[in-house]
Amino acid sequence: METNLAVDRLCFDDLRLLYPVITEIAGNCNQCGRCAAACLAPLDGSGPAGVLRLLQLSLVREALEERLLWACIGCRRCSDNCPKGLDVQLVLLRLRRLAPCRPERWLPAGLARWLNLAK
Amino acid sequence: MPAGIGVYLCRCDGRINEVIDLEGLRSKIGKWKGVSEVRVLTALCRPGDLASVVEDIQAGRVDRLVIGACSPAVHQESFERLAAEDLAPNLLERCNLREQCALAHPGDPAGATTQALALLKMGVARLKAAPGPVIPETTTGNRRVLVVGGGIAGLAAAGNLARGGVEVTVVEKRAWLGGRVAQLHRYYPRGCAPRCGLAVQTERLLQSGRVSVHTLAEVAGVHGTAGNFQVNIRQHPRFIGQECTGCGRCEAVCPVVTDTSRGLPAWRKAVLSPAGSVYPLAYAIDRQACLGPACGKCAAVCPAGAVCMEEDEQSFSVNVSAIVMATGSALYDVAAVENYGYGRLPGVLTSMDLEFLASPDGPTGGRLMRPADERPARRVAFIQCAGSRDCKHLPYCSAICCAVTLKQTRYVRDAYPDAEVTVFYMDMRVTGHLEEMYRQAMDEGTVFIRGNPLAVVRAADTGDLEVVAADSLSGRRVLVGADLVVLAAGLVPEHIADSYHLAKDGAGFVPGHLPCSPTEGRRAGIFAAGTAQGPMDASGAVQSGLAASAECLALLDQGPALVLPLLDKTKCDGCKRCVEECPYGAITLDRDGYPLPSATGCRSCGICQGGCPLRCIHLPGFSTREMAARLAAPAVGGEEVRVIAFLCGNDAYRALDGTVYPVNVLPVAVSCAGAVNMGWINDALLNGWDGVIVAGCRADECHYGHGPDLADSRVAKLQETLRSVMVEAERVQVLTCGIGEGGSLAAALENFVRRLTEMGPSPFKEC
Repeated sequence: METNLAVDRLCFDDLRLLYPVITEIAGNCNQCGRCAAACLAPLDGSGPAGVLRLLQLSLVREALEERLLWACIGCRRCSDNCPKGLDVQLVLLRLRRLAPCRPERWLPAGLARWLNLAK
Repeated sequence: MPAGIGVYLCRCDGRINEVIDLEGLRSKIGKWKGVSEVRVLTALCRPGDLASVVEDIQAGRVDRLVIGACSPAVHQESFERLAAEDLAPNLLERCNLREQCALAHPGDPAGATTQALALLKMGVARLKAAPGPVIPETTTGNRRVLVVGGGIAGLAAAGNLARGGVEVTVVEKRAWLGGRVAQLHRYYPRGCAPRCGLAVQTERLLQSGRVSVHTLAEVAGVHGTAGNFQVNIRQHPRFIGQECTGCGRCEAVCPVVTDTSRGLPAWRKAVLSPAGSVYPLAYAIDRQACLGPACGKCAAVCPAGAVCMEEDEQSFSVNVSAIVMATGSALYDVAAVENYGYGRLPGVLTSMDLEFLASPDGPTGGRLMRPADERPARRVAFIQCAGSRDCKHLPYCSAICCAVTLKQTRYVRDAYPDAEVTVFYMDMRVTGHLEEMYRQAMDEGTVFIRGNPLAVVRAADTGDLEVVAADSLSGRRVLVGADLVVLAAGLVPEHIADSYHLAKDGAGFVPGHLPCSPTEGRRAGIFAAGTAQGPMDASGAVQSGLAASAECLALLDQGPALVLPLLDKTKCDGCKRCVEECPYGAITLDRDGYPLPSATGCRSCGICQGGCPLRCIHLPGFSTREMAARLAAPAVGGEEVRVIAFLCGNDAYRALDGTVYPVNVLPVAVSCAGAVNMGWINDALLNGWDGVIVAGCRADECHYGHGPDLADSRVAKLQETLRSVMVEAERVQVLTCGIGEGGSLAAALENFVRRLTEMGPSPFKEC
């Protein structure tokens, strides 16, 4: 279970080493909120901008717990509409790769149960 | 005894002589040829000691002056004024014995004294080689100025210039003065009608009797330099003469109708009405839309017989000393932001469309209504940053749109006190006292939603407009229905021809050299004003117009100019390098093909002197003879490393004041790193100097634009040559240094001297 603990403790600087593209996108985000308006995921909330905001505040663990990571349908409307030309959806994809290291924590409860992961 | 060089050494109340042996220096200098007077004084800057210098000059004992005292950055004026009044500026040499000798090497009196001696030797040698006095020239330009653009900035500049006694020519592209401001319903912060302010300004302008206004005219070409511009102006025909009484019958009968807006049902005829403008109050015919003489309806009804379809384009030229570029800006074409549906969805307007709609001259007589069905527009949504701060459209913030929107929410409230006004914003940027408008809008119940909307759509059932957005503060999606959607579009500059050679930013604005010289577009005598400089509101445009007029007045009434470069005509081959490289375009070729610096345009940056391949153009004090004498003066033989450092007088030279740096380095102040001629470096190496430093500002901080870049590229070429003759190229180095970075400059010099010591003596050295 050591790898899982490592993900628990992941900080912003680790993320910079792991996926520099994520931290660069997060660093450049204006928080204008157009991606949230464009997002087709069936969720309320601040959309991809909200995830980027958590990263800007170095709240990596919280970002990995965002339900949007799994609600994202990959339409890429966030990236297409970003006024700063940032590939926002790529951040969600990359974070998805990190999140399952401890799936029962990050996956929606129903999905985890279905996958037989819940204790 | 004939007059000679007077050397005056200052003790500075002990600060200098507690390190440097001034008495020893005096006895040595007394034996030098050409020196007629050496004195050590307690404090040269005090009136008593200064008077003794003047006395020596007036008694004819001294005709050239070496001051061995503090840095030229201290007491910038006393010695310079003394030299200018009693001798000539080029016959003064200041040796920095305090900051760069005594204070720099407090622990090494012997080293400091040797360095002081070398500096004085260089100073005396330079003055010995100096030609006679060079008296600065005085301007002889005419008192005429051209203002390009008759908007509010141009009018402010022209009015002020006319009041200052200057003959002004105003050239306006459109048929009337007033520019964009004349198209506004009201302007902020007062919320008054701009026609009132424009009328006052125009009246003042015309009544001065010194202004000639040319509407429907444009600049076809500009030649010459500051103080003497020859400007060709193309005058398009108006087709309606001065007899026009403004009755409007021609417009009524004109059969041509053209749409003027993609957002509003607005149209105009081929006969253009002066309604809403302030001057001239005469109609004009748009020849492109007009059916031509074959139609002739307007000519038939005109009671004054003013219509004349046979007019031709005319050209004329004016001779002016300076030009104000108040060419203004246009609204960004928001149809390019496709999601917002401008031009596609009726009811989506730009902020300028709303001005027109709200204005009594507008298509509805000032009533706010939906263009599609003319129902009252009670629900209005404003979208800020429509295309601004967007990498696909305008990357910059247009600075005025937030305040414009706050102003326009008042139009809606005034029409319908119960209106639902929503503003979608990324950041509200209303600075200073304009914050009051923000507070008031919130007070009145305007809803501010923080989130850049995705799109404007038409609701499937009602056909109403809806704005699709998310409120990033609450994290909720929002869908706001609206009768009108107003897009706050940014400003883009009107194209300014490259032939003006103005320094533009990425967007095409001429922002000036900020913060020191905001109107300076890197072409002497041409000053930008208004939104040609960057996005700004009407108040800013007036301020900027007044600033440009102040610059013009300073240029016209200039006293003795800064020192102009001198030309040795016997050597010049007319290669035009100086003409090309002058950052201000202040050098033209005279009739014989020799460069002629303009007294009003030159800033004495010396970049011409740095680039001259024959070293025949130079600032006073930097002729080939003077520089050669300077370089040959100190003994540079022996094992010890000797470095000459040409330091930019704006930054690097001042930065070195008071820092501890190696005694082997002898600093020479130059006007700019770009003023260092590679010939000097060549001479220095051949004279046996071990190393040469050129230090200036960082590239984007240079007061003269690109001096350090020029120094860089020139030195790189010289280094190539050095390598080809098997001399270490590292003996010549370019350093950059800000005015507060003396420490790092000193460290770099230290490092340089260490590397030269490792390298061993220069191969050109006579040991």
